[in-house]
Amino acid sequence: MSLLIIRDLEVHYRTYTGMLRAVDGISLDLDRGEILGLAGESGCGKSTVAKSIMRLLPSDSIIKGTISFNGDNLVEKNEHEMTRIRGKDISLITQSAMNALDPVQRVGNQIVEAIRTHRKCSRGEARKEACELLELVGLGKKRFKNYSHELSGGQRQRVIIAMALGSSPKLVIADEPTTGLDVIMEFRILEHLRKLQNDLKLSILLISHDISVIAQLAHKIAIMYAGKIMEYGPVSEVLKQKAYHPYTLGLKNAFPAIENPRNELISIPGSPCDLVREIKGCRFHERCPFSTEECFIKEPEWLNIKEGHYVLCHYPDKAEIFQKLSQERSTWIKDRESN
Amino acid sequence: MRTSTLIRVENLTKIFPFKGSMLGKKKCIRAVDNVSFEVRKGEIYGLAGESGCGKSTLGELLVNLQRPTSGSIYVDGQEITNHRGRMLKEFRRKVQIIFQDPYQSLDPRYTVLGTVMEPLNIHHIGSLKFMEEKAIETLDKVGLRPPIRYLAKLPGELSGGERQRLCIARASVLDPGFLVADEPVSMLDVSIRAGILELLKKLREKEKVTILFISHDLATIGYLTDRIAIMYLGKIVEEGPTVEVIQKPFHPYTRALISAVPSPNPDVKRSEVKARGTIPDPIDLPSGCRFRTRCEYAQRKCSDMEPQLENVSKEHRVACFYPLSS
Amino acid sequence: MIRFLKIRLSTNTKIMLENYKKGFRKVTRELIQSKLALTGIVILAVFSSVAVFSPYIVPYSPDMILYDENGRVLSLRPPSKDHIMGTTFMGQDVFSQLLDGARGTLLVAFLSGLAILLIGANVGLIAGYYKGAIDALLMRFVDTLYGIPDLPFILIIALFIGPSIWTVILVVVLILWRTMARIIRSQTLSLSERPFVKAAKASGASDFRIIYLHIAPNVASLIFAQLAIMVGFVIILESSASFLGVGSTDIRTWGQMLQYVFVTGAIRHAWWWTLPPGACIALLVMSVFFLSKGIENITNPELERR
Repeated sequence: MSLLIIRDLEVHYRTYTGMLRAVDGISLDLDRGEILGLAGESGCGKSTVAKSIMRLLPSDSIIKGTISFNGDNLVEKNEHEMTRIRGKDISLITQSAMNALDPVQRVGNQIVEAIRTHRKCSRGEARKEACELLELVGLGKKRFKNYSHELSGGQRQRVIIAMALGSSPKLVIADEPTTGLDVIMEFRILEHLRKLQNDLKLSILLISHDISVIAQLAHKIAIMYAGKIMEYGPVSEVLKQKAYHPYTLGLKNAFPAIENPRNELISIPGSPCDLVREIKGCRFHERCPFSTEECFIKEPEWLNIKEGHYVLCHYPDKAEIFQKLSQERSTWIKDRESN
Repeated sequence: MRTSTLIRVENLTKIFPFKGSMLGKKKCIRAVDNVSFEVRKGEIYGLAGESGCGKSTLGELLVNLQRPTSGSIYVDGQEITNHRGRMLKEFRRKVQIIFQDPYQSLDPRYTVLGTVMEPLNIHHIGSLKFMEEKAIETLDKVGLRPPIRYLAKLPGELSGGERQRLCIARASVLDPGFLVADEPVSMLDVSIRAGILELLKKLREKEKVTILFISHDLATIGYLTDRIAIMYLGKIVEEGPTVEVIQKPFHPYTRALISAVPSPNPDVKRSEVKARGTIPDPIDLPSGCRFRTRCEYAQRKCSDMEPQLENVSKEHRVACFYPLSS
Repeated sequence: MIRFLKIRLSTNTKIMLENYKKGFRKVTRELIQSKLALTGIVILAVFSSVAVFSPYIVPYSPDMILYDENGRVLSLRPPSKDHIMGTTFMGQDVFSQLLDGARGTLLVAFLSGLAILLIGANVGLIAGYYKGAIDALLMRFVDTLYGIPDLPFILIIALFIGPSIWTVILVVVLILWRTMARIIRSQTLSLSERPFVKAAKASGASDFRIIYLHIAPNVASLIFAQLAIMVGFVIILESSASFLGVGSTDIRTWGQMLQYVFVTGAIRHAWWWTLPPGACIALLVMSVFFLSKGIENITNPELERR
């Protein structure tokens, strides 16, 4: 049974140039014990998805659609009901969370506080559990007494993870949990998340602009662009040469792989589209090397091409050609040469 | 010294005093500690390492934004650390730097044209018409096309990639021979990073600019650079041709770093990173080899003496008493 | 230096002029939209014109003693059609004095403001940019005597060098430049750490260029918002000092007018003589504060509605 089912989620922000459609109709499923990666570049709306699940959006934003968590639709819940779910059933780890630690309180006590907020138990019990959590994230119970400034960035991030797990949540949303951390630290944290998911059958929504992080950890991946999901499917398919969407193919070209360091890197020309103005047709058509007249006028449909694999494109049948052509630089850069 | 050497660094050290020394003992941070290396004309030399290893400080030392505590830097044979006044200004024409945050690197009140023309103004290069033409030419070279469309824009109106290109334009308008690029793509979206990296490559090929590329991202460094130096707590622990260092590292730290870099290919799973614990406090450095506290091969000798960089092959140096063999 | 100026003037002329024009239009448009700022500007404009043109618009000479048909001094007459604000104890026309007083008051405001700007802003910029020993030295000047209350200080200084409008200006500037310096210094400290300053240095920019062409324009809005507030304080201080008799004795200011009302004992019943200068002082201070808030609103986007 799916733990989290999102259908046709739309989130609009009010800005004084107009309505910004940050998330414009996305759907995804996250099963129990599964890790779903949500990938995309800055401004594509992935953080907004995280905030909408937690209902932490600004008061003048509009949210539509369903977010079904354990059978309940979170979109319909009021603030009081959400406070009971937030931090307890669903925990959020964000990038700057390590800066959110209270500088004048020992980190162990902050974990204790997190535990006791959501559960009635004695201080002693909470302390014991906090120590276990510290062991679980690889810090060890000797760190209980430390203050946040005595810990490195990676260690602080692990404290945040410990706090997030303190309430035994069913779902953890990790929004760029390792961005800004050193690579060895990042590796450790990803390893811990993987172990936790294994041991506790944790479900994780992993949001990152770095598909390498998602490749290491997630079972499924959704690629977001300009408020919509372009492709959604198993990591083993989407992140290898079996992707269907030109954006996915272009994105993969842009990531260097250390095992083949000299592999050509190709960037996608242009920049993400303005989310305020009305967009006809496919969001990606301006930057897509394979776009046609149809892509310009008609919005593509969300197509189920295989078991568990979806794509938002007019030409999924041309995928093989796309896969081959996208590997050549001339496919992407041809527009610019004329300038 | 080879004639193809552009930059030669000898025993360069930068020490920052640490405020709040305890018990009368003066504590300090040895940000760059007795570093020596060379950068050859026309190459892209990579400087890799995690946060706190001193790479950014080293970059600023090379462009004379900071003065070293001791040691020397030779640019084209000339020692530059004592340059003041006119000599310093002359030097600034030859050596330039671009920073990590393209937005913060630009004065928000200067237009694109104003930003690119400022270095020309400062150095009184030619007539007004000449300056304007040179600025426009440089904008075209860095890919801001057509330049006319960009001239009146302010940094706030540009995208991240365009801003970084503008910073590169500003740095290259004086035709410097050497460019230090300090994490130039870390803050940019991945899909546009390749464009900037290609631009740097083009600068090297067409304009013959030598580049020092500083980054914590080994995958990017692996793509772009010819040779690479790995830094750890202020020291260079390994140096050599990039592909060789990445595929056959000799220093345990290098190996640990490389094995930690995630791959976008889901079949390539990282299993183990052989580096215990975390980076030690730079104020309280371990004796002898700085990496010994995390190294699984550490022996008695490693805490008694500090290993120096020694050649394991013609181009490859390692600072380790027990370098990895395979 | 001159060559540098000349290059700056003619460089990318078209673009810079265009941008300045655009920026100017934008600022004026926003200032006009902000009712607060607009009110302030209008009042200030009115007062300034009055100050400039007062000799030509006064109905009577402000110092002239006026007599009635019987040869008696027109002392303390309430407002009438000949004298819309009545007369003073000495038989002078209040309205004319008011217009004349605008000159003195605004002169003090303007000169003090200029001095505070030049001294305070420069010290702040230099201390904030160079940090270290220079900063410590300059801040020592700022911090010394910091706890001294304003008005008593004026009284004491006036005791030594005699009361006059220049004493007031001197003391007021001495007191207020320090606040300006501190504020500018803290902004400069943070701005000078930003990469664009490092980048300018790396391009070969001199310290002078960095401070005045890069940092100063970016703190300019702060400087002017702050300056407006300071000018408000200047006016209050001058009026208070003159009221107490230690301020301007030679040049007429509104505060000085109030002093005469008080000293002649007419303060209790000659409302036509007390109210105008008092109201004008209040209006002027208010207008300057409004203007400052208006500038602050424009330059600080967080304060605007989203």
